[in-house]
Amino acid sequence: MYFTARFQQNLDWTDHTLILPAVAVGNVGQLTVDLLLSTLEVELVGRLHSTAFLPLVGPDPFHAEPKGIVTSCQVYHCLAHKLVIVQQRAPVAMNRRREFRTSLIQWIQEHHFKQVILLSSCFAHFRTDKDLLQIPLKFLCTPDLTESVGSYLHSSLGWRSLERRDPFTYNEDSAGVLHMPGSGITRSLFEECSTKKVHLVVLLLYCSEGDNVPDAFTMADQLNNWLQLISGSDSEKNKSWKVPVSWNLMFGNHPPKNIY
Amino acid sequence: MMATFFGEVLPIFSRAVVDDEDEDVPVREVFIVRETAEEATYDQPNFDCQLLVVAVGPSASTFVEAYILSRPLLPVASVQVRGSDKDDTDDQLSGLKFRKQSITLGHFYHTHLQDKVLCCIVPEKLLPEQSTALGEKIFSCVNRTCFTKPVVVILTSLHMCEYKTQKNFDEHQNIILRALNSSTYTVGRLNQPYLEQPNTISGLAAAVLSECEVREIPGVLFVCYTDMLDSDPSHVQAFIPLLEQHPLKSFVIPNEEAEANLKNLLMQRTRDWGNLYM
Repeated sequence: MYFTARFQQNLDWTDHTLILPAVAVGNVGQLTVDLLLSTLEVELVGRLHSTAFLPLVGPDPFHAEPKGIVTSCQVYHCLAHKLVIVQQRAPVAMNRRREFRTSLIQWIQEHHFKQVILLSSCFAHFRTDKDLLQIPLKFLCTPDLTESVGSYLHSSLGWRSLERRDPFTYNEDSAGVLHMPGSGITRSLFEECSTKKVHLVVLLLYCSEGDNVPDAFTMADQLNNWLQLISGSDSEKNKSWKVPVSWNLMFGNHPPKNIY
Repeated sequence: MMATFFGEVLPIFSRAVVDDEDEDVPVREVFIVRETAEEATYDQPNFDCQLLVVAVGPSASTFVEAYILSRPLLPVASVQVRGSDKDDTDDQLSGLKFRKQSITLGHFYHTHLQDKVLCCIVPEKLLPEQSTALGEKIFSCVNRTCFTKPVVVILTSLHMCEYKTQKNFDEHQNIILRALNSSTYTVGRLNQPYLEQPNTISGLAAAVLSECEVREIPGVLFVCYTDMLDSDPSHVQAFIPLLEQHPLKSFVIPNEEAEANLKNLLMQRTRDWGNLYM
């Protein structure tokens, strides 16, 4: 995997936060990134290119008129909030998952990001009764961030960290595994980041397949509570997120009129 | 395939899997084999060209064969999928020896303008994982020492049901031709409408255009949406207007035998070879 910059420019991102989606159930991470990209003032700075991504091309997803093309994975920069945002629009090839993880972490380490936020999702039907009473979001921090970021997210925002569970009984067990079915490469990426001391925070939203636009708004709102990306009271926030033009006809064309 | 809330089954990619995607799943490798007069050789081919035409799918491949290439067709290389490398015993392979054989998915041809136009024809289906690898390998075959930037033209067909539009379908014809070009493509003005939001293209055609974009090679993709995917004269001929415009106009000499070639090719492809009573 290699990064192709669009222009010769300063790419010093040492004090930046990297936001990237995991291709997971409902594509919530990718939808949330679309909301961020269409709402914030961002600039396309380059592309991540690899045979690990399944190929995809299309017109620019944020402009109705022709303005360049989109490929499988693009990198955007938001100067105002010191964010680097990666949008991955195609899944990872099933024969190159390990290669993708390794090269992604290598790319992250080369740019010395302050922290990395992975937006992911997992199946809602694995929630416990206790989870049903609270917001359907959990987080995970790599060990280096548990004290600083982890305690802030728990105490100030009320988020709960994902518990380890026994793989057979699903009861909470500190010696168990991180149970996040449907989250794609999230667990393996988290574990590799933990061992390689990459500062990673995973936001995990419980959802089901279907119309996942409301889930994307939920995740974007929660992320906004933490990073303060857009201002406004709670009731106004949904109005503040701009929906990209690429979300049109998400479930196919309108039915033909002559069938009625 | 997924059923929506209203019950219709749509070809939507489903993420509905419980297993985590931690481990690699092997996929048969795709590779390009040089064809010489004597035999196929497995060394990496290296071709000179100023125009690279990549045809993906049966209709686009038939168009290139009939209207751009001249007969007899002598492939300079072929696209193959490597056979299974499992160490199965003869007993296990009984009746399944085809698994060990390589499968040919497409061919490379030079036109009569030797060393100027290279055509890659891939009428057969590939796995998405193989498309990505093949897209990269096509560009590693093109010799970049003689010139810097070839122009790449990609032709493909998709079914009409994959075309998304705000307009009512009644307003459209049964064939829609759209274009999508890389940022560095400045060769002439496109006569075809630009592919509209929110349509996307995947597969080999997307892999080749992505390579054009990241390698800063001028490339243009023409996609023809038709109401059936099998080769049909009207679907193949939908690409004919492209011969009258750049970049094909600069390199392709009108083929007087094109109509006869097309008729022969379609007769060969539509004949049911498996029917005992033909």
